[in-house]
Amino acid sequence: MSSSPRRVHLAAHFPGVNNNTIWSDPRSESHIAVDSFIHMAQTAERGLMDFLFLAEGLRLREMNGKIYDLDVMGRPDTLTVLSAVAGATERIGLAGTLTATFHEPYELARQFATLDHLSGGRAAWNVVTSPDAFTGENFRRGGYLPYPQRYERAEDFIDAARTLWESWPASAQDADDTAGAYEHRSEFFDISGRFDVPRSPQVHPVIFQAGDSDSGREFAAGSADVIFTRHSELEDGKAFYKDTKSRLAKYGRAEDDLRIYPGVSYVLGDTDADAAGRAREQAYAQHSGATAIATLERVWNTDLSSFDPDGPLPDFDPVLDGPEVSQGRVKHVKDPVATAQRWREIAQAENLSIRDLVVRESPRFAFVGSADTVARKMNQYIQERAADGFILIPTVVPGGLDEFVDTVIPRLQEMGVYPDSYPSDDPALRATMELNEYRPATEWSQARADVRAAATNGQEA
Amino acid sequence: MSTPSFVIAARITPRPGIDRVDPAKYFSGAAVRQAALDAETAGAAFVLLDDDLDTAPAAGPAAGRLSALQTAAWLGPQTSSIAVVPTLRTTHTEPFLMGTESASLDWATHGRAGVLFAPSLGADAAANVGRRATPSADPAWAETADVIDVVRRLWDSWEADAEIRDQATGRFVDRSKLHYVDFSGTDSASEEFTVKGPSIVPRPTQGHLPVFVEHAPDAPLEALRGAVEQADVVLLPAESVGPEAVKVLDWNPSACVLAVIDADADALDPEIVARWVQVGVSGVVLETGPYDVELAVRAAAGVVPELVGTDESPDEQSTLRARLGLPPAENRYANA
Ligand SMILES: Cc1cc2nc3c(=O)[nH]c(=O)nc-3n(C[C@H](O)[C@H](O)[C@H](O)COP(=O)(O)O)c2cc1C
Repeated sequence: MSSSPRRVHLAAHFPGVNNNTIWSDPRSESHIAVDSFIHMAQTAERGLMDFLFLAEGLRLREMNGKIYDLDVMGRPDTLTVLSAVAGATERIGLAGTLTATFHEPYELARQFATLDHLSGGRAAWNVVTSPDAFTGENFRRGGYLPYPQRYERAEDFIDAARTLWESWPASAQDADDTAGAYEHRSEFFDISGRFDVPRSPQVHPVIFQAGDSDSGREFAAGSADVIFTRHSELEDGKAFYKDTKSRLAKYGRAEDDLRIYPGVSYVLGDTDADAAGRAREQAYAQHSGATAIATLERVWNTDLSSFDPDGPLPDFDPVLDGPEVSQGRVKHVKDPVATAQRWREIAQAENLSIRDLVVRESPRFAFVGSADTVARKMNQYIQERAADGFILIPTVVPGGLDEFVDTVIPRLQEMGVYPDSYPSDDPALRATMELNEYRPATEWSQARADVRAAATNGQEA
Repeated sequence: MSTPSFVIAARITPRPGIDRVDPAKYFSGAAVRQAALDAETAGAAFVLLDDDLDTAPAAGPAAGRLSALQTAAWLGPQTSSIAVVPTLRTTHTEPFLMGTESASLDWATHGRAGVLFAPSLGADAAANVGRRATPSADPAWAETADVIDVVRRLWDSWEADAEIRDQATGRFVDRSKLHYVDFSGTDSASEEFTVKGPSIVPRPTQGHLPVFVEHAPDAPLEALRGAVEQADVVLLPAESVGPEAVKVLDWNPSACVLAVIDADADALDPEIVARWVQVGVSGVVLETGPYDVELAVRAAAGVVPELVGTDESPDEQSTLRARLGLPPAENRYANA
């Protein structure tokens, strides 16, 4: 007997500070106006999606010692704008990225508890780690956290936040003078007192994490409900899915307790050929000549402004010993010399200019095709366990989601893998995502302690 | 510019020992939203939303509260003309984040927001955040003045026309219109703190949000001098507003001074208000709590009808700066 098909989950990324977002498109509107956020959230809600997702970056990016000026830049504070969106929507989840490195547990816990209350339980926190001294220059403490400790602090941070979220009795009606009393003394924090926000509808907001290293994946298995990942190709996605889900059992967790949502770009068209043509146009719109040069500079780690984007690639190797020319972004190229060599070979073999090469080598759109093609392909990912859901990354703000909702979602519904209404009357994000209720802080930390103790015993044996 | 009419505003945070809140209604935000809408209907200019990082004062069974800044942002799309003024505490929160959160609030409300800056003087706030010691009033207020300074610089760090979307050169912004603030200040423990900038949020809708400071019983007015000099709006307790307004206006002649008065008291009579106006007071903040706000605002307007004027329905586009009669905010970095 074959089991019923897994359902497709969808969510929306308000695109931000990178060249995926095409600001030169005539339909592109403000990236900062609250109405743009509300528009996209309401479209996502119309499409019965799980949540609207916002990233965070606490310093403007730089290139060659100057502010990087080619991409959309400037965005509102995550929790402030999500609170505003909560006031203009009813069902959509509100997922905000905040770094565990430069925020503090007491303040962050009350901010998420506030959002959860004001939204009727729709809050989610994407826990990222940004241990760079570059960002630290905007903060009192500067860059203070050694890179290997980024997840130690993040884990401790989540434990502290969960302790605060649980510090009130189940019903605030039963609160007395001791409500909110808590204490969290650990390697990274020494805090105590009374938390001032009663338990929120979800008690714990849904916890996401986005790191990709081995320790990042382990952190997800031991502490998070959702992973936001870049693994958006089918085979790669399956491998990532298998790897992360295989880490769960030892923490007493089932496959469905940790959800995998790749961030995916897409281009739709009336036909597959039409979509392919649009994808090519959009890829060039994402990579102006200036952006192509900047992309090369991040690999070569040197100023290449004298190069012509319509001309050939540099014939020298990347600079390895100099300071980083690019500051404030997650690094994706692990071996620059090999990458540069490969790029030169491709460019020579196919007679490509710098701009052509950069377009060819940049991450492709994950899904390109007619609504029908995209719906089928997305469904394939879900059934074959390359993902549990997708975070859609449109290229145009704020209308870039509209066409998807109007054309792809009806196809998914016809296929029987997408619902016709939200699954629950409860607007809580845990209900919308069909996730378990919150798991108490002590259970999380005990499970991790057991896993670590077992690993140590295993080594000694 | 026409002289703005006498300002009437409401402080809608539950009053300890007076207002009893029903947790079910209060923490969903419903009671605060109703209070803000009632204040709006009655023509109030803004609502104040108090906040701190210490143990919440008891108000009914639940001695709790929500983040005021987020509550204010949440009210933005649900209101149309009233402005929101949350408190931000300057002692423990990162100055950079106060800059980005306040600027974002202005975007979220289309310019219908201000922010009240105050230090956290309590030991329990220090224990909750766990980063810094409990300060005493003088250095904490001195730090508040520095925080206001750096926040204003962060608001200025993007010029209003920095976003250019220039297709010819591929540039989204003109980076000559973005500015490092390179601020150095002194914190409440006499240590230096620095903020690099620029902000990650473009210049607020109003340029600068109106900056409020309030003289509360926990510090002498003199401790606030630096902050008062940086402020646009200064709130003074009704009992001492006469003499204090004179001092405040001496330190900062362009300040908008408002008297804070308990809405339940009968103290607001035309003669007293006339005396206040003579020493430069521009309006009142009624401590209404979250209930019966509309009645209290209408009653106050009835005491001074000739001052309040007839403008019952302000322009929906009007910013808080405009409603308070503040001039357009200049940018210290523009044309520099
Ligand atoms: C898909 C993805 C999205 C991320 N988004 C953010 C972000 O919005 N803000 C941020 O400060 N860091 C972000 N990060 C950085 C991670 O939190 C982390 O610092 C980085 O990936 C290094 O950790 P790792 O070695 O485990 O991957 C992101 C990382 C990934 C993989």
